[in-house]
Amino acid sequence: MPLRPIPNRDGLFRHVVFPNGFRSTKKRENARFDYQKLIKFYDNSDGIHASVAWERYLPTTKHIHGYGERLASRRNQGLKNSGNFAEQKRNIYCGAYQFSAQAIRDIASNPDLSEITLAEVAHKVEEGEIAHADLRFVIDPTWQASEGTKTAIMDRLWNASSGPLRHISDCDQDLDPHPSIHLTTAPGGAYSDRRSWWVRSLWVLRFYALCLRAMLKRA
Amino acid sequence: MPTPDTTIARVSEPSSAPPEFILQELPSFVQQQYLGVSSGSSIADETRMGENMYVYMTPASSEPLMFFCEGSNFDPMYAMRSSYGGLGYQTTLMSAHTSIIKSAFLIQEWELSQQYGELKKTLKDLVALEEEDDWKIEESVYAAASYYATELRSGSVPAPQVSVHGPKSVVFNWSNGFYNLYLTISANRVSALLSSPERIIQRKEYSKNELTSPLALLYSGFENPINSASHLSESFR
Repeated sequence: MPLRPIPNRDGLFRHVVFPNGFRSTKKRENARFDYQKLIKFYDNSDGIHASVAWERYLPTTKHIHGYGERLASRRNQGLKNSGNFAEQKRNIYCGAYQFSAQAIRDIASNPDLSEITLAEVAHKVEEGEIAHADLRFVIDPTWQASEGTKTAIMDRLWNASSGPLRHISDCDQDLDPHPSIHLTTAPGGAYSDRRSWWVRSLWVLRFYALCLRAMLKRA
Repeated sequence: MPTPDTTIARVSEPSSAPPEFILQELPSFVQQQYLGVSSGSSIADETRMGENMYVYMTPASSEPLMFFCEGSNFDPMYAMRSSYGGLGYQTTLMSAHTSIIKSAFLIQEWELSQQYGELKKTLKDLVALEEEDDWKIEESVYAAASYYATELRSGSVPAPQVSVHGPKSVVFNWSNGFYNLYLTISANRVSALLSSPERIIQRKEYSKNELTSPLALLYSGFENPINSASHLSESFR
């Protein structure tokens, strides 16, 4: 099924889950947020991929944080299933940063990143998450320094980001200090919801309509 | 006016720039003087700044030089370094990446040892991670990163922050809070990137054999300010 491109004006979120977005994670209290680890890139035959979440299907702050909490929970469950879970290294949802779909596509038109022939973000439901979106960067096959390109992509995305939207989940209330205190303000400044009230209302209504439809299908 | 301390010029950059470096706020007595290619002053670096580089000098010799770039190729990557010596203020210009490194040069030897001790420990931890860990680096990447760390240490360069994208590279990063300098080190290549919040200022790619010492890159090989990546890619393919 063809993936549905996300409109340029729409917002995307990247959720930060400890320990992945941090460095010096051996001791949780010493860990520090590292924006260069905000996005994990995956090399595929068709390009470099990464995951983000589409604001259209996370219409309220509660939904944004719900996505992050489920992400952390799935990772912890995975560690438990493989017998690698350790309390000190448990996954902790800390918050989310925002950037626009336009910021992704701007990367492909940046003359200083001419080796990137395509930068796309498309809706792709994954692990039952309707808001999941797939980032894909296609690099000129003759270009030999794709690792350096990842650094440049990360640098540009971080500078196009705003936030964080910090969050402490109920299950992490006992943590002192909570790693979310180490999230740094992105160069784009604090998060602000730029949607008009009617767009926000429309997205909320559509989201609940989709939930209702899914429930009826299951029933 | 600029102080004797090293300062990054941020003309036309966002509001975090000190007001004395904003073009609109230049004092009216400032006199414009265009420096020709053959200028042999303490700002000899001007030949690398392109034809849009202008230097503004105040008539009073006790004041340090002010400078900025103009035109469509404006590039705020140069810093002014002023010091007070026997001849009064002596001002030299340096590129942003050099300033990022040099502004932290006054750190003590013991601090440097501590920083590099931690850096090497971090690299060891990264290579020792379990195979399925997303952040584990390959042995060959570890060897390359360790080599460059040793070179940087021998040149008394402040230790960088370390990050990884995955098994195939390690990223060394220096930042002065505005500019960022990255060295992305993989087993066979090194990519250098200098950026500001606004844009990428410069990129260069080196094969393992082309860049034997990162010090050469930091102090001399990364000077030409307005090279596009497309041009660089042609050079290094």
